[in-house]
Amino acid sequence: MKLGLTVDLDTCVGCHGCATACKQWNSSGTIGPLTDLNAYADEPDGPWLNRIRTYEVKAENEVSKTVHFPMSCLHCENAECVTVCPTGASYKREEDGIVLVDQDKCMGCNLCAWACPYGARELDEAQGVMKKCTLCVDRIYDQELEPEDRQPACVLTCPTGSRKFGDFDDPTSEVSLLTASRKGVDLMPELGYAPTNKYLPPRAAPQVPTHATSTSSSDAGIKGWINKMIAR
Amino acid sequence: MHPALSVLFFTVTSGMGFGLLFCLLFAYHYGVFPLPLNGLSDNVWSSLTQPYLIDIAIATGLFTLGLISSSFHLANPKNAWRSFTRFRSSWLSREAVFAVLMYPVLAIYIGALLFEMTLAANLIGLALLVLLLVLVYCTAMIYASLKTIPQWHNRYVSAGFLIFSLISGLMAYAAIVPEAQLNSLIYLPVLGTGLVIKLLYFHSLGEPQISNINTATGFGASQASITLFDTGHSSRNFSQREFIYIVGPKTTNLARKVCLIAAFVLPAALLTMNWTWAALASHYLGMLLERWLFFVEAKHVIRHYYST
Amino acid sequence: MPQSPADIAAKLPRFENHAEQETHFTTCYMCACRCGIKVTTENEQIRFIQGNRNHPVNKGVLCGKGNAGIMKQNSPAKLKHPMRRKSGSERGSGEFEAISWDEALDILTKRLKNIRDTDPKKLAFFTGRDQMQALTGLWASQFGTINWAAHGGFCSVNMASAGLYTTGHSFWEFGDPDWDNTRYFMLWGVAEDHASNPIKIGLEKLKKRGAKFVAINPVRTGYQAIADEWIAIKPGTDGIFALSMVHVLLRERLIDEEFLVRYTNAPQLIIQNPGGNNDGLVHRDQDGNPTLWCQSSEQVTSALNTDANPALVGEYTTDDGVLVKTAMSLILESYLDEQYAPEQAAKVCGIDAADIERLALEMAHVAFKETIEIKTPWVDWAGREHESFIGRPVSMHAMRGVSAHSNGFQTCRGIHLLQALLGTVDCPGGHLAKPPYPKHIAPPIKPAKAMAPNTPLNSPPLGFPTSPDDLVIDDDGNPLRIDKAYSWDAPLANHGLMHMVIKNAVNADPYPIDTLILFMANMAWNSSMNTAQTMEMLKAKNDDGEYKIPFIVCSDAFHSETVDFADLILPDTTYLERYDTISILDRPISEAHMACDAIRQPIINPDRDVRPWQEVLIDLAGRLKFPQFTNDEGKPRYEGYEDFIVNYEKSPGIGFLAGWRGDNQNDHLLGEPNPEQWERYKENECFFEFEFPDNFKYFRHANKEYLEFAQSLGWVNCTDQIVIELYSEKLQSFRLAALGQSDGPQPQTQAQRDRILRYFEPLPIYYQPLEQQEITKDEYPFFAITQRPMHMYHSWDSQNSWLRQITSHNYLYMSESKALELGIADLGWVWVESHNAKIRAQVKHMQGVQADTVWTWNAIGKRKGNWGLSKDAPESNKGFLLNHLISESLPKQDGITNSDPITGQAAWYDLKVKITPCYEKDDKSWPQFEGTKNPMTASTQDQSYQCGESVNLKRSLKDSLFKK
Ligand SMILES: Nc1nc2c(c(=O)[nH]1)N[C@H]1C(S)=C(S)[C@@H](COP(=O)(O)OP(=O)(O)OC[C@H]3O[C@@H](n4cnc5c(=O)[nH]c(N)nc54)[C@H](O)[C@@H]3O)O[C@H]1N2
Ligand SMILES: Nc1nc2c(c(=O)[nH]1)N[C@H]1C(S)=C(S)[C@@H](COP(=O)(O)OP(=O)(O)OC[C@H]3O[C@@H](n4cnc5c(=O)[nH]c(N)nc54)[C@H](O)[C@@H]3O)O[C@H]1N2
Ligand code: SF4
Ligand code: SF4
Ligand code: SF4
Ligand code: SF4
Ligand code: SF4
Ligand SMILES: [Mo]
Repeated sequence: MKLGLTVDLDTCVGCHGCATACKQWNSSGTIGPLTDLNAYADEPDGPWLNRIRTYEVKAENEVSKTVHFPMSCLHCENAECVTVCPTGASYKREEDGIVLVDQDKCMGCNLCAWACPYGARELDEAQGVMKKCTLCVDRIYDQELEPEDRQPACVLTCPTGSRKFGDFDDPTSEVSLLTASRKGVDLMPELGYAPTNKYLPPRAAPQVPTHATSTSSSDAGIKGWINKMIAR
Repeated sequence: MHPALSVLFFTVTSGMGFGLLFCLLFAYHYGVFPLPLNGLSDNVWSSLTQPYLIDIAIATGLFTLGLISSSFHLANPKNAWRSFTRFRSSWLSREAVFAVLMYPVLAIYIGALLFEMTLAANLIGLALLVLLLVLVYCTAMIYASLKTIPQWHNRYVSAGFLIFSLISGLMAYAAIVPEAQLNSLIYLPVLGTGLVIKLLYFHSLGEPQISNINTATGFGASQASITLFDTGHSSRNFSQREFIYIVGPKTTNLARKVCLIAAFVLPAALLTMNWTWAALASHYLGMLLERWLFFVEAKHVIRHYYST
Repeated sequence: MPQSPADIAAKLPRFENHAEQETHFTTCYMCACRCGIKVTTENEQIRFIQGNRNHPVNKGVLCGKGNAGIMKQNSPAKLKHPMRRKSGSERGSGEFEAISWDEALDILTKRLKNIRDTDPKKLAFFTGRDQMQALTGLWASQFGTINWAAHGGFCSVNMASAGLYTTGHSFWEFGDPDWDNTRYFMLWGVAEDHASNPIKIGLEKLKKRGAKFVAINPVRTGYQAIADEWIAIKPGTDGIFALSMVHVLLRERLIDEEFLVRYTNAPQLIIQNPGGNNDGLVHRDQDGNPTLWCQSSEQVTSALNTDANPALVGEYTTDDGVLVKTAMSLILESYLDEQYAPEQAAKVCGIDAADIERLALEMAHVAFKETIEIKTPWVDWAGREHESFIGRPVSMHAMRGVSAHSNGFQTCRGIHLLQALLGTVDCPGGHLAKPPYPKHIAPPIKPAKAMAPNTPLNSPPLGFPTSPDDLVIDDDGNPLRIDKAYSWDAPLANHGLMHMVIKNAVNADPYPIDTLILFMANMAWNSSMNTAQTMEMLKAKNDDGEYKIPFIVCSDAFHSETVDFADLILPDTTYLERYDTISILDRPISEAHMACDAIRQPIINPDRDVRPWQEVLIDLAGRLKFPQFTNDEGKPRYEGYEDFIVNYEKSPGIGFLAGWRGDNQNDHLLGEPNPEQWERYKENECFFEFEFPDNFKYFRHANKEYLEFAQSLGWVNCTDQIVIELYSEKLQSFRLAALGQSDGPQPQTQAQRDRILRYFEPLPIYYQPLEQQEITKDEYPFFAITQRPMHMYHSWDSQNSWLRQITSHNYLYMSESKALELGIADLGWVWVESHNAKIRAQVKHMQGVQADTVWTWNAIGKRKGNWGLSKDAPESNKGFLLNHLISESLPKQDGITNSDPITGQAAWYDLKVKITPCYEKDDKSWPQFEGTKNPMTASTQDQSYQCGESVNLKRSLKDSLFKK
């Protein structure tokens, strides 16, 4: 299996639902807790496994657009974050491709974060260990959850359905079909990380014809108005 | 990249330690840099005080200091021992393994010297030379293997680490073994090579980068201009603190010049005047600046997401 | 070899301690959207809050706030016990002493009893972002004070009223676009709205279907970011834009004439008698029914005459010699005028004439060329059967971008006119009503006027005036309410004017009050205009040293700014700690095709000495012996809130909760009280939904079977067709009064007369927002507005350590090119000045903003020391409020409220400012306030929340040594 997400940039409204769902799920679960630094003071911060940035995009001769851009770990096939890890804390699971950090093994050297092009890894400075998206490995396989709940927290919660989860090895999965039909793209493909997660670019706006209008608006206006027979 | 002091200090100091050990070994075994040493005496105690061993101890001290300082930048040092486990893939793990391997090998080497097992000492000495090269190469590859940082993933980085380590060693050697009367035919070419490599490196930083905000966001095809409107967080986060360290080009340009002069040009001049300690000091400070620049001029691709 | 998920699962550790976990359903209250949630707890701690997949509102999804509920429950700003202002301390200093509930309630009962015994209007009870207006309104009526209102007046009464006086339902929470069928969606001035998740769910549906989504908004963030077309309108000019599209449609005769004839008052005859006392009123027959001109009989006939073939357009003289025109004729005359031509409108609203024209024609195309039909037979008001519902799949939604302007009522009516011309009201693909709407126009409730000691009001404090007779004024024409609602200043102030209460009370205008109760309203900060002055007013004293507002009571759950200005604080529970109802009697959670309500239930036991405000109200009602809350022996009738909800009946068979009534517990919507009702709700995941049969789903304004059903439930009081009022005779009746042409009350001053004459036009008009009429564009060149951030709810979320990591201070966003023109750098500091005040803020450049507009996120800035934040928190040091700049009075006319002249809606977004770079070296916003002496600050340390032990997924040493 090659598990991962598609993220639809055409529908994401930047509500941060996926980000806070991720935060609450992972405050416990397999990777928690996540420390909130300066929780109620200046410079509040802490590890987030999913963040939403917003861009303004201006192409030549086009009106500019605002694009919300959620990013979590892309579970790369060539996950160099794993290659560089000296302790073996970082690893990519053979069975499903999920990239994880064993919290008991990490020594907090940050090298994996250096090796990640996507900013997907954030050190928990209080605990000294690296945090990252687990693809909710602790939900998706939990047989005690309802089958429809065996989904990443961020996917379950997304109000615009921008995030879909599935197996990219299965060509009939929703994520594979979406990637094909919407021409899903890789981020920074030139680095060769072969990210599993795909981004579905904003669509072209639908063109609506304008109602053809009569050039001779003879019956238009109040003077030329002829009442139709319409029953009350 | 954020230039963590511990990392700057570690890489420069241990680089010097390794280089010094390299020079000492080379001098001792191949006599290229004259070493005032006429074999070990019969008396083990007095032989311990022999300058060569003291010099080795100094070299060991230097890289040990560096290694210790490197652990300061670990957020969870209690797991540091685990860094030996991923020798298979991780340059950092390899560096750790080789660095630690240095100690027993060095111990055996010293034993061989003390017990005057010449053949063994020669062989192990050779092995140590190779080990040092490999070790410094591993350190270099920690940086050079990161595709995420084009300024490190650069053809001059590993060569640079090796030559800079050698130069540092040589400078230290010249200072602590003044009797050696280092020949300018030796240090001038070496310093010159270091200077050229650093110049080539600086020059290469001007080359265009393949990643940009368009490839990063996937809007590559549209050639659109993309600006960050909102980071999604009000305070600077881990990634920004770690990767986004902005120093103006004025400062870096000045720093580059100072670094080249302090690390290479001035030491050469000072050495010709036989001011070996001054040369060493100048070089060391120059190298700290070199390492600082190495970090601050390194632009992690994540900055594309932050439009910086 | 590939493994199945089950195989993989078998090898994994058990991550969650399900045995120790419990799940309970309830309703989210991180905002007023009211999504269903499933809360998993473990040892009295919250493990996870998830959307309830079966819930009609959110269908399983949650927004950024809803997912951060754990941190609200964890907030260090939670109030812990009742408190009294320390004797000798100054109001506003925040010095309190803890007291017991008994003492607190004794103090309050004594005070309230005295007021009720003497002069009940001396109690003013105002509530903010609450969801229990049915209860607080009932309480106020029983107390006998007309000085009650909820936040609607400063929120979006323009939308509610424009709808209720035009289509019988409205935007805001009383209607929804038909997300499942619409093909063209126009969103006017919405950043988030109450239907946060439903809009998002709906937008995804549109996108999937390839429907076009057009956003009208000066700013391009949030929803506008995913719009297919973004129209950067100048704030306050939507009226001219809408009416210009009306112009285009009329000019091209691209209108749904059948819809207009059958469902609107467009064919009704309007009397043309300038100077007469009936000018502009609807011509009526002997029975009082509106009349039409029948083309077949060539006669005036009753609008109820189903045999008539009404003339849509025409001018006639009736048998009794009255000159009349159809309303449609007046519409044509008005909007075909050159002033509404796109070229003219473009100059005002900044949208290209060609775009105005094109958008109108695109909508016409979709309405008339992409018509849809839903083959469900239905019966119209006159008993005629129809084969199907015809749908014109153009829909719209509008909110505060329209409503928060002083022309918002008329603008919103303009949008409804546009909808009606396209035939899209409550039709498939159009804008649907949500039960219990639509209502007759206007809903038949009149605002209470009369008060007497110890006597409940004889009607609710808020209602719907239809003529000057219904105004709440005394014989001299002076306001009777403290907020001056339903006075000549704001005759249709259907939700009151909460934003005027403090100022009026302090000025004893129209009279002084004794006690002000604020529930869930942050009136000392982000909910008031002119905040700095408001804080001073709250502290203002008379010459005798008494406070001008003698006693302020605050019910809040958290240490808000307002808490610090109270004399008595009654700490509330959090939403996870109490029972609550989301009632159809209130602002229900109904969906377009379902009547719905919901409850909350306690999930967590409070760890503090707090009580639900609901309980407190029921308790006080018993202590004060309100008739409806007292039994025959004079003892409290209800044991508490739960008991009240189950047993109280508004009218026989109708109570707060509609589900599972009656003996057999399965009478829905109507039935005897059921003692087991709460249990039934809990079994049904805390909500109730009643799906309508297919023939009830559309055209409910004219749908006989639906109207009969609605009448049986008390949603409407007759089954007459609800005729959409494009032309408003009700508005005209106020103009007649202003002209001195009526027997009833008339405005007293020339200024009042001018206002009424100008703004109470019976057909929608555009006029420049009032503040802008009184200042010069040259002096204050920028429009300044706010937006709701999707992840923050008003002032609520700075205490939330997750949400504040997303936004802990705000910027003033400005067009990049304009800023550079003015020499203002990105992240530079500026002075922002209005006619009222001056602030300092940090600028951020952007492209997606109308060039003359600046904006910021609402309510991010905080006063120092509140909300459990440390003194160095960016919320108070860098964050700022635009509210300081907004005056509650208009620049010139002293005493005239900065509100819509019709509804009294607070005109937050009429603000104009000038912006100058600030060269002082100070990285702080200004003004800064000293803040409370008694901050409930959390430790400034880090926080690490965890529920249960984490189960790390271990990698074996062997694996890490030998695996590739
Ligand atoms: N997340 C979140 N949700 C909330 C709230 C919250 O605080 N946070 N508050 C709730 C409350 S009380 C309310 S009333 C609703 C309000 O919900 P919204 O109506 O979405 O409220 P605003 O954020 O005021 O958004 C007004 C929008 O109109 C735009 N605008 C301003 N002036 C004009 C104009 O003249 N014309 C047009 N076309 N657009 C204009 C602004 O740019 C902004 O996008 O939201 C509710 N939902
Ligand atoms: N500049 C500007 N100002 C605006 C607006 C704007 O767009 N721009 N919008 C206006 C609008 S539409 C509105 S509706 C108002 C919002 O006005 P308010 O409703 O007054 O504002 P909130 O900040 O929501 O404050 C409500 C109070 O409720 C408290 N609270 C939260 N939960 C509970 C609870 O469970 N129980 C109790 N008892 N209290 C609780 C909070 O602590 C807070 O003090 O703001 C208005 N102000
Ligand atoms: S996104 Fe980053 S952390 Fe995730 S697998 Fe790829 S390189 Fe590793
Ligand atoms: S921070 Fe932890 S996971 Fe990352 S490379 Fe270092 S040891 Fe491995
Ligand atoms: S998959 Fe899970 S861990 Fe990853 S971003 Fe989504 S919620 Fe967070
Ligand atoms: S929850 Fe969905 S819509 Fe909201 S920010 Fe995340 S991806 Fe975007
Ligand atoms: S929209 Fe969000 S905050 Fe509001 S009720 Fe729904 S989940 Fe809760
Ligand atoms: Mo509101």
